[in-house]
Amino acid sequence: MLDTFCPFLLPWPMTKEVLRSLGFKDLKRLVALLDLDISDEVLSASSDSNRDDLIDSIHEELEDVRREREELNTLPIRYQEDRFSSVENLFGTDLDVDSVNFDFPENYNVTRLVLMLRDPAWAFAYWDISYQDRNRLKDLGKNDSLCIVLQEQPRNDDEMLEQVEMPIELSDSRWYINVPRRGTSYQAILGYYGYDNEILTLARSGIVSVPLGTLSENYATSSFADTDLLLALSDLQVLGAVAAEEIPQKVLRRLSELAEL
Amino acid sequence: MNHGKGFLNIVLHAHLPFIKHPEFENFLEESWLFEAISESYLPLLGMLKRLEADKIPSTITISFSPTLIAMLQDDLLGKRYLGYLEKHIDLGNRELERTQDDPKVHGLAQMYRDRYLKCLADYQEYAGNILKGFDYFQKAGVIEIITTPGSYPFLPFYEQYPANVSAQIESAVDTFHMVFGKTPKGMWLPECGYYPGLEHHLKDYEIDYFFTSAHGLMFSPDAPRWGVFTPAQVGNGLAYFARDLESANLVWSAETGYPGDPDYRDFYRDIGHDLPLEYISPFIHLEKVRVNTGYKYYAVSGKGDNKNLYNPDLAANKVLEHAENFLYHQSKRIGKLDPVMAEKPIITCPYSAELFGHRWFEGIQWLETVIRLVDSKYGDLDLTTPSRYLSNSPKLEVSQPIYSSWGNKGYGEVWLDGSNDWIYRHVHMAIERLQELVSRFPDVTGLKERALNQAAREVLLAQSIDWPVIMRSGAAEQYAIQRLREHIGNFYRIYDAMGQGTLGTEWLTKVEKKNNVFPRLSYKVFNLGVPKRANALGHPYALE
Repeated sequence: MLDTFCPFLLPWPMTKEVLRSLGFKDLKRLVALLDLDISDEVLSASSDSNRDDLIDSIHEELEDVRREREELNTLPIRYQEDRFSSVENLFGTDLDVDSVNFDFPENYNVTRLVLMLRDPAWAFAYWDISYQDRNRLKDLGKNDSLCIVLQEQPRNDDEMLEQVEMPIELSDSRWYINVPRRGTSYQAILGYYGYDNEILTLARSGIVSVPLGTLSENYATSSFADTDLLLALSDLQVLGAVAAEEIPQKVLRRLSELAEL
Repeated sequence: MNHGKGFLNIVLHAHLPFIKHPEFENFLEESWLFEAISESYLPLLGMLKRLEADKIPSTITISFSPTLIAMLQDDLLGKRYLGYLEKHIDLGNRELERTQDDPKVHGLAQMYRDRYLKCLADYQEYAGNILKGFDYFQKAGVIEIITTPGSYPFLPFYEQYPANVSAQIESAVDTFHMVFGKTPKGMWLPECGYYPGLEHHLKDYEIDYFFTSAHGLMFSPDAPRWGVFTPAQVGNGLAYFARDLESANLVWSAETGYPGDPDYRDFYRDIGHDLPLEYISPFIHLEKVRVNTGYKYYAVSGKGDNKNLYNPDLAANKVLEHAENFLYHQSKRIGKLDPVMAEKPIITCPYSAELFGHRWFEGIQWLETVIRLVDSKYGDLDLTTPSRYLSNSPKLEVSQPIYSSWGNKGYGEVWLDGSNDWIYRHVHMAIERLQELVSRFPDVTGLKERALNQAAREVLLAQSIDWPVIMRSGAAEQYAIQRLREHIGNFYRIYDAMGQGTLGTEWLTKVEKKNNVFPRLSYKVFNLGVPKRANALGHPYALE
């Protein structure tokens, strides 16, 4: 069996909450494994109030390590600032901006919407709205009428399509969306409600296809001979949670019946 | 000749993110490469040599990511690796002195010291280019080498940028061609990340096959009759092999996997953390940051604080036991499938190469024992590689795999959650702006071309799957953010300079030297309008 306590498997950064979930023994072990500088007095304590002191000390030490690490990571910036304080002119003017000083902008001055499928249950959308569009919305008095719409894409004419509308704030820029139906496709729209409550489009995402996330009906309906054998040998139980919970119950029952195979 | 009733298709995928910091004398994260060379790649070569000497065919597949290839061929990192070995041999010599009164620990210290000495001898034998060693075995027909997309991205998150996906594949095929003198037949998709339609890009580069997760195949609406036990083909004819879960679980499971056996060597206990700082300081990072030294004297043991000393003899017994156990299970499964399947069943077992030797110290011994036992004892099993299997023209059912991965929960959650989802806004925008540059400067030459080619490299490097993984783990998070900042920042520096007509040659040359991956990559691959030649997207090597 694997050793159950390993500090590298704990959630990181290690918050006080995480530390509080550990017993005295594991806290001391953590101190030893990470070689934290904690006084013997604090370490030898055994009462609950002293345990809090121990947690505080560990937390403080970890914060120091983190800060030190961050400082180390800024060294490339400092180095390059010195190194490139003067650059040779190639195409015209010198540049004195060091690229590593690049700051990620909160948003880009374009209007766009990107939809990414995380798994069959959740999609992630992020968007940008250009300054021009922001001003336009303000002029229209619509800067508090924004929405994201997730639209199911038609596969045939007589199908009822799912649509989910989510009001958003102008300050929002990303959202996780619970996908209403699987085995279909979706497109998202970034828009705002017009005067008749119709949705006016600012941007459309690409189309994402959502898999069923379930074992193929080929196996569930026994259309193949020897499906039982295949399922028993495929070890499907070890699939991840999202996948496993979607295995049809009838297949799970069969797997359980076949466990002895 | 294959006489068995079924096949084992063992695949090792070797990958490390591109980490090279010439601006520092000593950079902590570069040691990931040095540890992998010492503990996994050179020992794997040693295994191949021993098997060859005994005339036992290894018959496994290994993928090398282009970023790893770039690092393995880099002169600076090569020199630094020699320094790393020197330091570790020196530490071993000190350990031999320190432990002379404790015969058991002394024996372990000697074992490690001798391993580093052997690494040094082997590394020098290959003149610092260990890929030559693997190429030798590839040319001898013993192993099959394949590739992975250029910077190892999770491709489903770039589906909306087809030219970018092509660039990732082209940079991989090109790197492979440069090192091995031919094009690869197989593609290891990073973390088995697949989306429907990806096969068209792979086919453009004459890739014959790829791999998916088990549910990528078994959750397909038209899943093949025999599930993961036969490869299937996508609509465009590309074959794909799905990962087998049972054989994976025997090795990977945190609860019951072989590496967790109490007699195996413990990965975490290391003298870098155990010994007094004044003793260990010359051998750790910047003489103050404790890191693993590779000298590890304890076994996994049981739960609790007290670890037993590592005993290589006990571990060797377990290696044999676990190799037998592995093959017993696979033989039993093949035995059940063989009578009912028209084609011989195949069990596809992909593992991270760095698991063997590095994380699981005895892993290479185990793999070697598996290969030897298949040869000597398990006549019902044959080892194969995908190309070898496909060369017999098996009938493949047509089946469309689904969007999937082998990551936690089977899809994209590992690379898209609250800790890392913010990166895609910036990486996607950089791709769009690179494409804008390509349309503005469709055919420049000289320094402008150099700058645009570097811009393309930076955009690709920003997509490495490792950055969101590191952010999610929390450990070394700042490093991952800094790397993203560097690559996106470098890109925008070129983007702005191309617009303003300004750029520093010194800066460009330095960045080219530092981030020297994909040396022959042309920015033009990001041009969606490049006409395809024989489905090859203009790629010069795919037409061989």
